[in-house]
Amino acid sequence: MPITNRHEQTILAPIRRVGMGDYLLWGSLLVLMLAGLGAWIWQYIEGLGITGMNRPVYWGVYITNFVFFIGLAHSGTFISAILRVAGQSWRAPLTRAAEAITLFSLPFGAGSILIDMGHPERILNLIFYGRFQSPIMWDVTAVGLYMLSSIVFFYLSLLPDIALCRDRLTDVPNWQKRMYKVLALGWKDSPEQYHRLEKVLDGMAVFMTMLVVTVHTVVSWLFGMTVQPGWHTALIGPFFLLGAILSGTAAVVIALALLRKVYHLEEVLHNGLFNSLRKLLITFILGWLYMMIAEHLTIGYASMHEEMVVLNDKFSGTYSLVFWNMTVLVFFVPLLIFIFKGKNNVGWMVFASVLINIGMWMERYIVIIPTETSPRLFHEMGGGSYLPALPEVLITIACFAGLVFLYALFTRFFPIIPIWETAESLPGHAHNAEPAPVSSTATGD
Amino acid sequence: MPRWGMVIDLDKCFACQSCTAACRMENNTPVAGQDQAEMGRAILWNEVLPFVEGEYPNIVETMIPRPCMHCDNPACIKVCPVQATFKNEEGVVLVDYDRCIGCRLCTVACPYTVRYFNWYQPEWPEALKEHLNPEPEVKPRPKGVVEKCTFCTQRLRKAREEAEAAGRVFNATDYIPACVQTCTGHARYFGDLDDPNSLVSKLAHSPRAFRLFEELGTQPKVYYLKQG
Amino acid sequence: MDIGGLVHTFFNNAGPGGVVVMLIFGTACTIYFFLTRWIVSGGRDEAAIPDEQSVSVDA
Repeated sequence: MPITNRHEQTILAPIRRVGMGDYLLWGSLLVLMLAGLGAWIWQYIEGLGITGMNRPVYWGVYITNFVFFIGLAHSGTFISAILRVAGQSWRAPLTRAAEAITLFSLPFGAGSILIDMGHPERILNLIFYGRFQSPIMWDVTAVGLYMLSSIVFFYLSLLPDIALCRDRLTDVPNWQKRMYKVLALGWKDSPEQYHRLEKVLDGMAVFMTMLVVTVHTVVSWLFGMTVQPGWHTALIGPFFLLGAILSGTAAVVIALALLRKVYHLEEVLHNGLFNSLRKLLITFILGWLYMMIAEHLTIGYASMHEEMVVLNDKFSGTYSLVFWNMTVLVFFVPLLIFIFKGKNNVGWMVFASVLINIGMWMERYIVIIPTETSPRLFHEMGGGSYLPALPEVLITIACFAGLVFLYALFTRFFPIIPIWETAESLPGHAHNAEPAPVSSTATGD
Repeated sequence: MPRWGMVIDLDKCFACQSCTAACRMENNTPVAGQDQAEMGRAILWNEVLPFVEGEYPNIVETMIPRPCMHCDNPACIKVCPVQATFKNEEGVVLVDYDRCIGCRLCTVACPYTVRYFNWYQPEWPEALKEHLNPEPEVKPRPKGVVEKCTFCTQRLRKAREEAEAAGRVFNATDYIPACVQTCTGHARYFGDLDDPNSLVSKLAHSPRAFRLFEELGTQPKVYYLKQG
Repeated sequence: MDIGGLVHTFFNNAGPGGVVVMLIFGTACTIYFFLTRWIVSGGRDEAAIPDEQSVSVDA
């Protein structure tokens, strides 16, 4: 018995027609990426001096990007793994769209570290002389394993759909057919295969959940393990983790809304999904505010001298504009939007999600930079300052362009909605639950 | 094995900056130029930092010469992913320029901000280029690596070689870093902290002695003698 | 056994970090390879059944 999914044609439609618009989009994204590559080559030849970094601000936008992209990556694992463990079946249509964000933002997170290095060609020293006592090694291990596991997890859940593409997409170019054939690994749609696949995905979901917690905590430990004021707090791990899941989930909303609009997937990506995400996002923002208050109240109340230097810089000093804009505009405002406007209104949801992601980037920046401008021995003499320079801006834009490019490319060659996971009937499964509800308010609220 | 340490008497220091200048000539730190220096890109293994307390006109100004603290429990070594920075058996913290990957985690981890990064390929004006110190330990560092004060490790090697050539036993008093040798006010003392009879060891136990950010547990080997 | 001492030793000595990393990645790759093979091989037993065959022949 083959897979039957009444939305199959809708889901496969974007693969069937690649138009002029796509080439234009890919082309312009490629131009942006090439500009970034050029900036990186320029930086490699000249040295990191062409950036805005200095002493004592040794880390700038690149490290901010690193934390941000790794955070963004947690969206996919959150939706597809954590919700799978929790048995939330409504997540099925959006798992792949979310997991693809993970897959395509991780390379730019890991790449940001490489871009930031003074000697990227010496990266193999990490293997030859690696010291496992260094937080950098923890990062390499955690992020690397996360990347590897995400690829496997993503690929395995894609396997039945690649086979479906191989069997049913007969009008695509030959090379594409061959690609499906090779990638499908001879998938036969047998009940036993589905049975084993489900088993492995369930098991891996638990492992991936563990990895999400580990990865972002370890990312934060890059800062938390030092003795610098503002960084040296045990809360930094959970704080980073919560921020990561928040920005990731918001990114899922943006991606879903775009997919739905551009690829006409309104039937599959119904409003109910957005309503469920809306509730998650409200919870996460409240959690984020809780962390924010817990951290800053602890520091402010105790008023230790060098901690207060950094705190004052954020509250009323150089970084107050960024700090308060971040808190009010991109957290309180989205919270209000989600509560009062977001229900059944995708436009408002997307607007608030964009604000949240801008905010999360600013939050990473505000955690990293003010501590660096006021290290203990330095703030007495006025402290340091930092403004990103042109190459940093170009490379940052290129990273975002790269993420969008890979994502857009993927959706034109593979079904972005998992056909087998949303199917009404699967080989070996008598009846795969209820057919997904079509009406916008049937689920969610 | 000696455990090298330094004592700086703040009563004797009058911030003439000759230590900074001597360090530059001894260790071949590049000339950053004014615009780069204003951006905070200057590389000064030794710096004299002004600390001003109070409001004008009632101010107390303290000048603190700051070499690397050569901590016994250094924050920088702990975080280095490739062991490019390490503490040798004599307690001196050094950098392997050929191994450093330029991740700058050590520079942000050091609470004393003593570690410097080579933002560009090092440069010198022609006149200075002819007078670079030829010792292999201080050959110009490539761009993209971290560097810092080494207690003039090349001078230690030379002192050992000279002692050996003269056929006598190397003595801890045979060697001092350039900043100590040049110090106009004789404010700097250098020697073996493990030798209870050495001058530095006695001064380090003086009631005036203190270390920077002792509460961080880094156990610096540079001691200061309180002013006043 | 002095566990505290072991932890202290870990953080204060250079270790073969590269080996640890390679071991972790190697183990992960091996496990993932065999898992994938195990899943895909689930189709082998049914290959003989005619009506299953008709679905899976390349279209």
